[in-house]
Amino acid sequence: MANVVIDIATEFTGKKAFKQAETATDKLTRNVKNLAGTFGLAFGTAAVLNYAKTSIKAAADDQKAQKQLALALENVGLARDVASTEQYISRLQSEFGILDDLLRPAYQRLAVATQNSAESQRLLNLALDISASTGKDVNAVTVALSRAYLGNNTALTRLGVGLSKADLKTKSFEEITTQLADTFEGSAKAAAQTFSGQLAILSTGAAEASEIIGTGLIDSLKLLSDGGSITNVVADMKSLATAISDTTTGIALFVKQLKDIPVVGSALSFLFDDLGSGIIFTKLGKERRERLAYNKNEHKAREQAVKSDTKITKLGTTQLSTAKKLSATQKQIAAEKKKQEALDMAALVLAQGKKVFDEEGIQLAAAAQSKLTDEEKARVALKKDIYDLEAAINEGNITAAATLANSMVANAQKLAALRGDMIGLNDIQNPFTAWLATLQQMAMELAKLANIKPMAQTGFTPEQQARYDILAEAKAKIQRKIDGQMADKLLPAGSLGSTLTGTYVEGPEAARMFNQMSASGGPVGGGTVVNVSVTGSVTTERDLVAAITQGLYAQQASGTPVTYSTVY
Amino acid sequence: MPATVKGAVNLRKSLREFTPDLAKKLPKEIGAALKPITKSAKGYLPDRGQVLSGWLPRQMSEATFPAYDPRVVKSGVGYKTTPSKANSRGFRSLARVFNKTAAGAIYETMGRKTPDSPFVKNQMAKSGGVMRGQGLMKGRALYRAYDENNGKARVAVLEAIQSAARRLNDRATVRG
Repeated sequence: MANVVIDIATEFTGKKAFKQAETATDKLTRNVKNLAGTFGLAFGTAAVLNYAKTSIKAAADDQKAQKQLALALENVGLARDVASTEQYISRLQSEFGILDDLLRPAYQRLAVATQNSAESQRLLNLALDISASTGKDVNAVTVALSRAYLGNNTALTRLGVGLSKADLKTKSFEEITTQLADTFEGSAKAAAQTFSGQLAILSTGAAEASEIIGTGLIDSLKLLSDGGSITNVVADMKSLATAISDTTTGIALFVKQLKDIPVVGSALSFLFDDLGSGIIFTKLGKERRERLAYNKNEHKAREQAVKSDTKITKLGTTQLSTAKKLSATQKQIAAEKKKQEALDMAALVLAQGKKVFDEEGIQLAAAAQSKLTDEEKARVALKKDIYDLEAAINEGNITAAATLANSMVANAQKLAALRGDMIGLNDIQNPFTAWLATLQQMAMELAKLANIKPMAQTGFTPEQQARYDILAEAKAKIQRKIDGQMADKLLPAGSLGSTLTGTYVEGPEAARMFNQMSASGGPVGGGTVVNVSVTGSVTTERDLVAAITQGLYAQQASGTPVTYSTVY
Repeated sequence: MPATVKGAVNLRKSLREFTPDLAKKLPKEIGAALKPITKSAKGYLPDRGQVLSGWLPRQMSEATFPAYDPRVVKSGVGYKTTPSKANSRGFRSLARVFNKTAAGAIYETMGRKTPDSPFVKNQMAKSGGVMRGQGLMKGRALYRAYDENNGKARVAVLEAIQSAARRLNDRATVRG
């Protein structure tokens, strides 16, 4: 089955791990209990005896293993490496937490097979890595390696280390071990760094301590024994335990006797109340230990509590002052708010009063109610809208402002329409045409004058006859003038309806005749009287300027622009 | 050799219970670290024209040897960020990349033990992928991509786990 998987990160949490940890913890507990028994239960005969037995046995086994390894190394010609080998095994034990009881046989097996210390150490390191990675026993791995070194590779296939039969057949032992080293390098170290590994290291340390104590006990018993040998060790141990037990009993009896003394016993009885569970010194030691613990821990806790209380007090003071400041600020804000409200009320009243005396508004209202033309009404309405809009903007009344703006636009459009009617561009005529028509009109009037028929000459006095003659001559002159000089500029003669006839005078003669007519009250020679009346009034220049200025003001007031601009 | 961390499974549980946002963020960060490997590995897998014609899928299954369907093989390369069950030695995988199809595994490792196989020779002659890696972790696709990643993914995964733990502790710490 395909199993191409790369684990990037893992955690050692399986059941097996827990079991290993439990086992290691149990071992540690046992060893620690043994150590504790050495000190805490020193007066217990059975405990002393049991621990002494265990320690002595462990020390004896260790010495036996050391001697066997040394003997084996001597036999294969490696006697010079005995001390370095012990150091190497001790280092492995403390580094990887594997008991020397396991390491020594494994190393011995490899040393016998290879007869080379360096190769043995290399293979033992490899065996430890394989064991840590695969979970196989160190002994099983070293057996397989030692056999493989001697040419029997079968055991290696059973380890399940990824070696195929083809590999084992084709590759040398050196190549195989190199491949295994590449595959499992660092496994033992990694396992030792786990919790379980650390417990194993602790456990081996405790076992080592037990062995050391056991060695000391053996030496002591040797000294105590008569022959200086270990033959009578067991008997001596029993004797020692019995002696300790008897001593304890003796102490208890001594205390009992002491308590039975009437005065002294009662005085000293408090010293022996705890005799059932230990000696008074135990109590003293316990109290001292608790006091020390108090000194170290309780004192620190109290100091921290005092510091915390101080901080809390400071914090409370700060909070109180802050609250006071906040309250004062809020009061100040409330007072300012009241003042502002009063000012707002006054401003409102003032605005209402201003409205009452709003002259411009009153004028506009009055103008709107008076009789006006449509254009003037539109102008007044527009002006009123502007005024009201300004007021609405000042008051901040947006709704009214929008309404007034719409009204203003409507009035402006209305005014524009009205002004469009008044100032139609179609009404503007060609000024030259009008001038020509005026000239024609003048010509017609003159022609009428020229066609005035002379009155009958029978009723004239000689003077009147003379005037008549002069007028006739003047008419004739005018006729000639018209015929001669203005024929090309006037309309055809037929269009005037008649032909100019008569005479005309000019120069001093004409003036004289005019004066005569004025003096006599009628035309010279009794013709048609033409009265010329001038409408309007004759005024001085100053009055004229004043009138024009007033007119401009009136135009401006009514909204008609009076500006003048020209381009030169 | 994968990196071993302690308490990561419990960290995932705590994140899920107390900080759901971080619990969702952690797999994303781990996935972002692993994705470059799977992407490269898919790129190293041959396409239809690069494998032997007899290895390609046929209309009817004629043999038990797994056929190489490029689409299926490439879809079989991926990653997982959920903790696995413990293996026989008690290790739980926290993050892993895989090439799970049989044909993909064959292309990954073929010739590692039998370099003189005719199948291997013919396939290599048609499209020879380079093998990278060491020992059992030597291959043409996933192992090669992992080897060329130079441990960046591993570092990123560990940093993501440590970062999540730190953020969880920061939030859980009561400051007074």
